Amino acid sequence: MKIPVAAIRRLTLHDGPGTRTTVFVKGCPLHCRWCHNPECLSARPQLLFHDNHCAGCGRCAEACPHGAHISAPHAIDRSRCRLCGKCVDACWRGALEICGRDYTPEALLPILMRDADFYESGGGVTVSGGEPLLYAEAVARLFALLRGHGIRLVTSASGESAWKAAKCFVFGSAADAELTGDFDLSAISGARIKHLDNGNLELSVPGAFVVIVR
Amino acid sequence: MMRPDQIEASFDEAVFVDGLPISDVSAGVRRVYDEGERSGAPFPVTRARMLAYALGNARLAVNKQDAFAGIVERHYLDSRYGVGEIARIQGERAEAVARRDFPEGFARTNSAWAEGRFFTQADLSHTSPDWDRLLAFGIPGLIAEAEQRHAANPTPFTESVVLACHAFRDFALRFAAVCNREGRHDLAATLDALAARPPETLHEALQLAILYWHVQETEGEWVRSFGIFDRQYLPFLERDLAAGRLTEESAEDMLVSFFALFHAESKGRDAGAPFCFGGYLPGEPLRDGSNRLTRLAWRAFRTLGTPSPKFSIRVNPDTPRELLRFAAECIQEGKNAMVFANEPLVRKAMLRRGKDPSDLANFIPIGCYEPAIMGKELSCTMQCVFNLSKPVEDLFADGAAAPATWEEAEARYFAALERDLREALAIARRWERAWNDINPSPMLSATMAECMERGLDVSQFGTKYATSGVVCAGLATAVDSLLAIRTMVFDRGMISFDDFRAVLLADWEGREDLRQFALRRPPKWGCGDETADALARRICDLAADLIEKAPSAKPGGFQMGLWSIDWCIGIGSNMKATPDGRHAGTPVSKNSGANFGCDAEGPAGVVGSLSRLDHARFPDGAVLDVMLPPRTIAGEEGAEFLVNFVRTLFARGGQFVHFNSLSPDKLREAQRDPAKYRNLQVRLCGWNVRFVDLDRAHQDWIIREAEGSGA
Ligand code: SF4
Ligand code: SF4
Repeated sequence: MKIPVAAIRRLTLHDGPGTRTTVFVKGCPLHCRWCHNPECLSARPQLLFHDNHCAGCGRCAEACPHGAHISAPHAIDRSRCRLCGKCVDACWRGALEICGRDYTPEALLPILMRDADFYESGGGVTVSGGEPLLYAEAVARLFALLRGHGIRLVTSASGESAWKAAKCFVFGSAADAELTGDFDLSAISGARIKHLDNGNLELSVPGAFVVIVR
Repeated sequence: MMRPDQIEASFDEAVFVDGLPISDVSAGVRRVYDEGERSGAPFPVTRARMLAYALGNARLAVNKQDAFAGIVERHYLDSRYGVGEIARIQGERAEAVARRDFPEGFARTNSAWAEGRFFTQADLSHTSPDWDRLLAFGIPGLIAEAEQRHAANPTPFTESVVLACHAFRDFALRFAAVCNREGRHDLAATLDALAARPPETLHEALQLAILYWHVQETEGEWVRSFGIFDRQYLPFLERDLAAGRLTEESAEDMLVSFFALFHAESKGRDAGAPFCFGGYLPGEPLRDGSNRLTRLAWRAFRTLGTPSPKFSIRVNPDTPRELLRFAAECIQEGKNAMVFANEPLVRKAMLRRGKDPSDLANFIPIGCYEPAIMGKELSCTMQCVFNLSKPVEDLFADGAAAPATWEEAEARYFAALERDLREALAIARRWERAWNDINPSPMLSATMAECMERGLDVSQFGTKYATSGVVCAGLATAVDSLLAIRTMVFDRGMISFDDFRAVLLADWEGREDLRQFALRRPPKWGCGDETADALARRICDLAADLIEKAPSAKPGGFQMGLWSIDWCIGIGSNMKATPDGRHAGTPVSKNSGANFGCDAEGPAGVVGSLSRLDHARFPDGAVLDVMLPPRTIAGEEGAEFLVNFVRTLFARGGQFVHFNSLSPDKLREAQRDPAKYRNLQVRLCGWNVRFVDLDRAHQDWIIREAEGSGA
């Protein structure tokens, strides 16, 4: 049960209520042209290149065993890159970075708990992306772990191909039983939410939605 | 109510109606001093006579609309005044005493400073009177006590105190006469009353504070705290409200006028007039003392929005959230002349240093963020300024053999640190005894119960507590530099130690690649990195051990502070390039925080690192500067974030914190068009200034901080 993580940002204020830590997962079924976090589109790790830091020294090209770095102008032949990280270590200016590392929910827990005291006045952890519900089971497990520490949670979903997983996440497979009945569900962009007789909610029309676990 | 700019204008355009021109006051003070020296009069007595002369002859003014009598022609920052002459005499005597008593130490102080290594002095100006006693006794009460002590056991000290107290009363009466002459019979009546009895109303109490402020600073010591404002003045406010003399609205207006005076006097160029709020009341169980006056004063602060006065809040778990929230909203508006103090932590630090639990309710930040006990402590918080990063430079000294291993390099750093600290402390100790020869302070002493009981001036450590602060600067520069050596020379073998020496000597000339590596790749202080934090902890522990154990002339001994204020600019200007990527001559790290641009994990990382230090070991204060982009702290979330941040930092053991929210673009724009940004203020390092009043070096430094760039 793994979540590919692109980045973890601390003390974020715009990913839900209060002071939060936001986990950006990698992988998204949509490929919107305007995506704000394009490094989160692919679920696989990727070599990132910050060209504003690059001095064109060529150390990366020297270090790469697969000839993936092309100089003048500096480009990366991604078909050759094996993500070994040698160029990242060789770069003196921090211009290269491997984005995407798999974490189990258990491994993420202590990282996210570092700032637990900052969450106290209404903040918490947000899982963003990317499409978190591509990893519905693992995210549900992470949420259950964090809930065990009283942490409030937010996630959002595009509701596209993750639709089935989303239903399972929100409406109670074994993994997220603790969540049932204790969340706010806001429909955005086309989704419809139906109130069921048993007090639960159901997404009757697929679309994007936000889950806030109280 | 006058607007702040009107108060400022009224101050600047005041027509002085009584007294002598500045140059005459200067000459007169010098004459009194020379006569005293010639006649062999005890110096404390001469000092009191100099004070009396300056107060008796400084020019005074009062305007038609002034809420308080407070315009006195004096300035202690330059020599436009009689007081300038007092400062000059202090300087001459300090040098003479040092040359007489410890000529080698004095020469070493100068040479060590020229290297950016350390600096020691007799710190005369981190003082606060006992405001509670001053308000309770009033001027006649102080005189009565002084005369009684003098009659019982006359000494030069008691004589000097009697003279100073009389000078204080004569000053009030002279100001009253000026007010009468100008048709301000109301103010004259207040001043006459203060000459005859303790204050009874809020207006009288505040007027007494203004008079005392002028008197003490004319004596030659800055008033570095106006005490615990809301606690001290609440009884006056409540009496006035009960008697119908004031409403909350009229009280707030009065506070605006009162606080505005401090800004008008200096325009924010005097490190700010410090007022403290909130915190525990005396007695058990502990109860927070924030009250309706706290609210009124903070509303006045927000109305004013000037760099001075500067406010502090003693924050404890019972501090009302609304107060913190109000402060946060002021910060959002750019009115950030404030610092937050972690009261439980400070109390712990003070108990560790043997202070009585019953005194802790009188904890005040003195100056910027140095904890002291009001009315009971002589706290020379800047007796020594010490650069923790200088011993790194020594590793590369000419002729020093290259260390063979990282462990050897590290051990050499610690040995050099110990050597320098011992040397600095030995000289600082010689300065401790010098104050009495330089500037006996009878007025200040008169307010302190223990000074009067013991018959000793504050400068003879007559107070219950006497301490000397050792300000330790440049922690991040030290840690980041050492870890750059470790990473580049020993772990990666990128460069030999000797080649590194040449690179640093050449100020990275031709090796920008190496410099970029140093800036970006090795572990840094302030990112929650365990290696860096552990090294910082060891540096602080060693420094604190040496400082606490060093012999001191004072009963309270030396105590460590982890801050730098803007000394980091002066220190850095005297240093070569350092291995962390810093260029020669540029500032070392500021206060206890990360190097600019090296806090990769943001404020959460800095808090994580700081929480690994034991802040109770910094009884001379420790402060974190938090610089946040304006958009981060905007709106409801932003205000809550600030409150939350203070609470969390303190729960994790931080000591003091203050905030800036500045956009680098706006600051650059202000450099280009100063007239348009007249009122843009920045929290410099423990006080606020108008950005456009700063010199270029300070402006550029703040811009670098705002853009988070170390390069
Ligand atoms: S090693 Fe870094 S700085 Fe040098 S060319 Fe490669 S990416 Fe650019
Ligand atoms: S990660 Fe490895 S394979 Fe990919 S470009 Fe860098 S050195 Fe080459």
